[in-house]
Amino acid sequence: MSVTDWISILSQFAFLSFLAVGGVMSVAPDMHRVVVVELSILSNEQFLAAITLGKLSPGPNALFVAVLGYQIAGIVGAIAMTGAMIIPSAIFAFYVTRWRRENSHRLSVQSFSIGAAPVVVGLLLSTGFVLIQSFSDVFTMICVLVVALIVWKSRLHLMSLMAIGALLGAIGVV
Amino acid sequence: MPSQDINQKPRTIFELFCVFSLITLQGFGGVISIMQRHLVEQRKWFSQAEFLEMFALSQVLPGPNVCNLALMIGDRFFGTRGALVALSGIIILPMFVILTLAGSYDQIAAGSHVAGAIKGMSVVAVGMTFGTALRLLSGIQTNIVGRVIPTLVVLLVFYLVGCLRIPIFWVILFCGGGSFFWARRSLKNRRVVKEI
Repeated sequence: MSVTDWISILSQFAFLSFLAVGGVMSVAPDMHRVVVVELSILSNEQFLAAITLGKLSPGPNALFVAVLGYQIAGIVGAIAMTGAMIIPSAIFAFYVTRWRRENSHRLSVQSFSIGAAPVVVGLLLSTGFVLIQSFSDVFTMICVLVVALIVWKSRLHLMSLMAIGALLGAIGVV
Repeated sequence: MPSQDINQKPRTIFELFCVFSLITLQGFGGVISIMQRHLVEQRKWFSQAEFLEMFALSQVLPGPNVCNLALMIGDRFFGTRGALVALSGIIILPMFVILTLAGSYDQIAAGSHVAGAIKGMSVVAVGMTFGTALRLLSGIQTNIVGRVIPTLVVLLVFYLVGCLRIPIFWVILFCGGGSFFWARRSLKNRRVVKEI
């Protein structure tokens, strides 16, 4: 990897971070284009492994970007890529948040707060619904609905639910 | 801010870091469910409505949503330092975990028990997303805009994105826009001046 390659990757990722409205996963196809297709520094399998790791390990899914960086150049690569992904959008978010707080009396800001809430809840429901379709059998779907019901109506600790899920999965029930 | 009286808040910036690290390390397949449970229901730093409001903004802003949300919350309690600390809290430990896993990915992918456990956890994660969305329904404000329009917006967004798979951008533009103008109209009519 030459310096120009690094500049190219980091600037493209920083740019993509600005397009990632609705989460970093929405620009994953573009990241694939940059590192696998255009610069061919990573294989398809490596990219998929990074996505999978992002899903199965705790924390923001966006951290799969750290794995991409790690695959390219170890720890330094991981930190550089994560920084490129997070810092520009974080600075933007910071100033928008400040602006919003200072202008909370404005009609438009209040309208946004009230108006955005049902849209966001609808989107979260959709995410759940789209993901449930990735399970093929009815039994698994029923399990998902049972979990949803427990989370909705009870105060059972979420980590214990996760542990039960992991255990049942490991012994092959779900 | 009248809500400040009933809300709790982190005492030190170190507590802020620890809470976000704790939340993020539990966040398998979605940090938002854990965050809502911890911050709203257990620690009572925010009401359901306040949380939903920040969550909405973090969704609309570009970049990783959970990072944006952590940053907003940190800034709210401790200013710029808080924003940095909360953001670090949500990233640093999971980064160690994911890079450790990346080193042994081949063994992980080969083990059938591990693969099973991951599947079991993803089932729970999807259920948690649903459950959290249902819990957040109670945070939608209905005192100014009424109950009918927000309910319709939730259902419409769900139908368009969940069932028809319309790109989110258009849905946010039109449903969000419609919802925004309905809220604006209602606010104007009532002339309610509410401090947020």
